[in-house]
Amino acid sequence: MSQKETSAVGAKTCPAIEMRGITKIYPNGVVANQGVDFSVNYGEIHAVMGENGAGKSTLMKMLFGMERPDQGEILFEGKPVQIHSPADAIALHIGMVHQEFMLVPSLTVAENMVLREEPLRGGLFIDYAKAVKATREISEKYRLPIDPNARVADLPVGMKQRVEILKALYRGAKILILDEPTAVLTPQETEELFRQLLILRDSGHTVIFISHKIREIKQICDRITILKDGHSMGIYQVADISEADISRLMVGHDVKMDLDKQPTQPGEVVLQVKNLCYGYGEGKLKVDGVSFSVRRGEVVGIAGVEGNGQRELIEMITGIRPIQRGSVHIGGKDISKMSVYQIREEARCAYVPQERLIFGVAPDTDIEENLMACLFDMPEYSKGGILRRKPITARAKELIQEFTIKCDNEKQAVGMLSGGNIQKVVAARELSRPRDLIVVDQPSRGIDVGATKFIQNKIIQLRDAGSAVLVSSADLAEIMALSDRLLVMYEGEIAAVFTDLSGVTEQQLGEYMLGIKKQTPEEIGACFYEQ
Amino acid sequence: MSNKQLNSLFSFVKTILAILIAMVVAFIIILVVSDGPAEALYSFLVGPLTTVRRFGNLLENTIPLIFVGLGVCLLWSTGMRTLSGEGTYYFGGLFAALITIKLTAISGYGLTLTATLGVIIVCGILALLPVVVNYKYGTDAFVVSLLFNYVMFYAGNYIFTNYLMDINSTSSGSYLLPESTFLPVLIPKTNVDASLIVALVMIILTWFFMYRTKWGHRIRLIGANREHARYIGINVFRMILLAQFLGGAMSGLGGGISMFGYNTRFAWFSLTNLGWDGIMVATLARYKPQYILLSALFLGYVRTGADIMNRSSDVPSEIVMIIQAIMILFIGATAFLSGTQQKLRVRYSMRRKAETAAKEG
Repeated sequence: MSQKETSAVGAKTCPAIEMRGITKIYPNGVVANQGVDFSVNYGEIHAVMGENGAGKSTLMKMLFGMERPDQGEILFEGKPVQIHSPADAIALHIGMVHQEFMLVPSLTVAENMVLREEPLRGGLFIDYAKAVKATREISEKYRLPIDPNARVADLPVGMKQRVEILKALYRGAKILILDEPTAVLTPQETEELFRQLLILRDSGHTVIFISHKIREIKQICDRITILKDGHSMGIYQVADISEADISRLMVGHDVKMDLDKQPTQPGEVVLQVKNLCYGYGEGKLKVDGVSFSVRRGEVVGIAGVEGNGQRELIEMITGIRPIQRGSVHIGGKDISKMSVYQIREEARCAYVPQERLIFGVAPDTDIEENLMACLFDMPEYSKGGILRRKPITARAKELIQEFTIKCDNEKQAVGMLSGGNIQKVVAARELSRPRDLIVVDQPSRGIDVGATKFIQNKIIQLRDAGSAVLVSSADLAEIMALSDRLLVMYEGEIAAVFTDLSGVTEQQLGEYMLGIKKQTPEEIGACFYEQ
Repeated sequence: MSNKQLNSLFSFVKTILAILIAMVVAFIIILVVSDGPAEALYSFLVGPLTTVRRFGNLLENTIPLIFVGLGVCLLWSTGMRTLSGEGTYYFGGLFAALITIKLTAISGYGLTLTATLGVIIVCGILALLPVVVNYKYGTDAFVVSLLFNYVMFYAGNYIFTNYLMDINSTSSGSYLLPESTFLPVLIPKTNVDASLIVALVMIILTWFFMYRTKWGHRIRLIGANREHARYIGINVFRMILLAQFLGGAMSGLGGGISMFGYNTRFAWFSLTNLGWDGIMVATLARYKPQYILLSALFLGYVRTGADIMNRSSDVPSEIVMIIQAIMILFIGATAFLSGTQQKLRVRYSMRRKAETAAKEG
């Protein structure tokens, strides 16, 4: 594989933006970037790829002035520059579209467009007509149609994103950073976005495209920068590099999902969810009449595009969210009146949450405390409320060994560890005790392959030992490998149930995940068993 | 050096530097305003150690600071920033006076103990109110606790004027507190009594509770990450209540214990301001009970020194306020020295990475 420095579309010889030897270390000691070189030319779509935690967002935040590098320099058209704030970045014609849109929902498109640079009438009042006109002009210029008078709150996600892009262009952006723009889009909206990006590229703009979907990058990007563990793995021509090579560079070795999984005979029903609903008070319910069961000795998977109610469903089952309507029984016990403690200890439920650093651990406390936090009621570890430190430390050391957590010692702060090791801390705490029900939300989000495999094998082990397991994952390959039965969620409802996964393809699942197809109520009822 | 060690080193260095800067500023002011700066400085710096009486004053000033400092450590341990220390300290004093004066059925140390228990329970419960209101109605606990201090004060003042005020006495104050309840004096010719020992024991107990019991662990976990604590199955509200109760009880105990010998009458006509001092002591100790003795002693020393200087020279004791303000400013300033710390952090991280790479490759 050759590392080429020339641009695919052959724009100016001097790169538009160059970052040299960039190092960034966060106050908690995490090295987010180390000696990263990065450069983009005018007139190219440049992909930045890497696993979660590889340092993509940090690098882009430094380019947009939201973080300052500790070492290294940034060159704009060959000249060194200091970017202290987003205002500096905008002055250099750099624009960024964040994952979370920075729009005021109650204002119209035109009002959002001109924020901070409002055309004024009489030096005091906003000239709304001028704002509308400016919006029209920019939208026509880049062939990105939008209604300037629409309220942002009423727009679909794809349109909101377009407003963000137009806003950046209105402020004169020549270099546009898009942070995982397709994560929130439907396939149709994604196609539309790609069409827009190609127009921008051909008009001489630069698009920096952050993603971890290889297929998309293959589709529209010219060059790619791959990051791993805060290091740059090099800049490549997308045409010259295979998908397998990209994933190998991203994760360090070839990704293969070989799970040693034997078919099992499920036992009695442990988890029974009946007609469960959850709403945020908006028109549509986030979880809408979901019913299913999980039996001892089986893994039930939940697939779906994120934000289709999986998270709310799981948080109701584990007691983090109140149940509004419907019921959840674990081991025959109704959990609606139970505290989180009771669900964990009496209903014997373990839970590996999606948000590691918010729910999974307390990042500033040490590994030992995080591993042992829910065991302090056991007589082995406390007597009359006083902690027995020796057994606690001894057990923590055992868990660190058993789960191969890479750390200096058990007193190190959890937040210092890599994503994979933090996930192992959570797994060690949750999966080291015999439990009736195990709920795992996004088992391998943003963690390395070694840790992923370890956790997946652990899940299968616990299934074989007789636990009922419920797994939700946005990663289709993973969820298909893990699950004995699979539910697909779309807009808060179960759209499909697969009791036998052999012969089911990702494409088939995709159709249900995107709401193109839906099974009949009889077929969906196949996942519900009476206790 | 790990990042953790680096962080604690910097918090130590920052505290010491803050103190030094504050002292230097104070010296400069003394040099400028005083006609006899050498004398003033001497009485400020060495004064508290020159006589037994003055040394006694130093300890007398330190004891209440220990109680209120520990109180803030507890009150703030769950991340709930309430100001209940102020009101409970006042009410603790008042309630101790009320019981020892009005409860004539018993006397001696039995009465002391009864009054102490009463103070602990009452002040503990009073400190719960702001967080209960916060939990039930979503009102800001900080604001409610601040305002509730005045409720405690005016309620206390009502009790004082109607039931305790000695109108026949020339000094305005309550009836004389019964001498049989007074704690034994430790250092003759001073007011330093056994409350010093109680304060020291409380430091150890608070530390033990916070770091060696499962409840302390839970409380600290809530302070570190409340969402995580909830997810782990900790009853967050109950633990916040526990921390507030203990914090209120600790401040109240400080106020109450001062009625067992140090004061001969209850004569507080306003809030004592010690609740705020507690925040300062706790901030200086980085909210760690084990450092409360040092920080309370330091503050007690500066105040005693300033008092002596006030009496023996032309520099007013208000200089202490300047020292305190500068200290807190620098300790609270997150950006103070953060550049140097980040540089060292980068250097250590790089070295560590190189070491690991060398070990693996």
